Amino acid sequence: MSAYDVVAEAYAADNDRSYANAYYERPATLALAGDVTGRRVLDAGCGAGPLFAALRDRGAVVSGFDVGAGMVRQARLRLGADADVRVADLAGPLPFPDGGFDDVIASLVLHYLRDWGPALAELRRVLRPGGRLIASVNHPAAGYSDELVAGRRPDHFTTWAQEAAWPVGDGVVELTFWHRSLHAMTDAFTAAGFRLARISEPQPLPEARDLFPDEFAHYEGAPNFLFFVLHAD
Amino acid sequence: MSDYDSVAEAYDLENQNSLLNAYYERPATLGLAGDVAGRRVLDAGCGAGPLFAALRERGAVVSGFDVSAGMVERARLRLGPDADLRVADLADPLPYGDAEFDDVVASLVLHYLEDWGPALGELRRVLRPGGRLIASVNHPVADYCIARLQGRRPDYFATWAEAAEWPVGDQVVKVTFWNRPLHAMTDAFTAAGFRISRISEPPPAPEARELFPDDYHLLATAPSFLFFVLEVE
Repeated sequence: MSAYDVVAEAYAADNDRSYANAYYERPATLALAGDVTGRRVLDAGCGAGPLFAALRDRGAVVSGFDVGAGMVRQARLRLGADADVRVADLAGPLPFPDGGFDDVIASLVLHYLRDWGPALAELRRVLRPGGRLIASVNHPAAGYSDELVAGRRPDHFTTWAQEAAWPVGDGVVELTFWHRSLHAMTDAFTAAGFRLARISEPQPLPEARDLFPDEFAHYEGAPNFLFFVLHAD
Repeated sequence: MSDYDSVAEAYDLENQNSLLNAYYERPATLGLAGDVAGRRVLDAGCGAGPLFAALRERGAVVSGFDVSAGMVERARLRLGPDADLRVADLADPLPYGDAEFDDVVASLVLHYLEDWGPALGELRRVLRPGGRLIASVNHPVADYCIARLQGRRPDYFATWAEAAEWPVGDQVVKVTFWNRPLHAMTDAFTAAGFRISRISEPPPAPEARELFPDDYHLLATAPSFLFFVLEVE
């Protein structure tokens, strides 16, 4: 069972309109994806499907999976019974054939994995040659600088686990984020057969300033998420 | 006149044996360069020539330039009158023909420039197709974290000038570093026609642990320099 299952409905509602997701991460990922009309796109770690929905609205032929069965149920409610949404674990073999996708989107999901190797190999496998992986993760400078400011001296170069718990609706999601350094990320991408096409550090949408004054002020000028566009060599 | 002119001799002596240069930056750059035997290498911002000397010892055919005439004089003392050393400014057109080099090494020099565009354009021009640019710079996370630790709220996303001075011998070097976020670096590289082969955050040389017991731990656990290997498309 996924940590998100018990709060799937509340999480889905929160994620749909939150500062970090609706006004920052999703618009940035969609902008990096660009024109997806007619492209076969896999939404890896699709959650309750808001990105799936946005990609489909833009003309992509979308498949999605998530490790949380509760999330996949929420996604089906949103996307309809015909949507190709499956329960699958990014850490295991994926239920998709070789070379079937033009793009894979891995939106804020890789940082739940300690070892990126098997997951990236699977994402590479299901992409056609020349296809793209668009991935967003917690920025390596974000957790590290927060630790420093809290008076701790973490090793920037190790991969370390951060236990997080945050309230969602009536419940609490307890999660483990795996922090790793920039070069550990880029080495993992290249080892899996990807080429670095772009590294992006976008800003939230301008309207977030008025809609979320507290969060905007808190995060302004601070690295939060890091985005990669990778090409399958 | 360059800021380094007046301290060229003292800077050279310091740089020759310092933890940051001799036991961290230079071994890392040489490690990324790998086997350079027979390769034509340009040392851009060669200073007093320690990297030039190391590359030449490894069999490369090396040319070098620096904006500081005082540094180039020091380099001539080290490398001999036949060494191809010139006084030139990385911000201006370079006195080399198109595609003259297999590799360019830009060791801790790009961060002195506000605008990387013209410099990278020139480095791209003097490289043959498929040639490599190996560049090291102040790590974008380092200055951000130092400012956070000092209680400031720096804008990670800005390109900003940081005045620095440090004692060299019995004098003081005053320089301006232009800090910028990671994506500004990678975007500048790709805009100039480079593809990103590798991003590296290497550890110091192992022998530094005993030689510099006070400073080794910080250097081994905190981001200081960031290294790129780029290939001409």
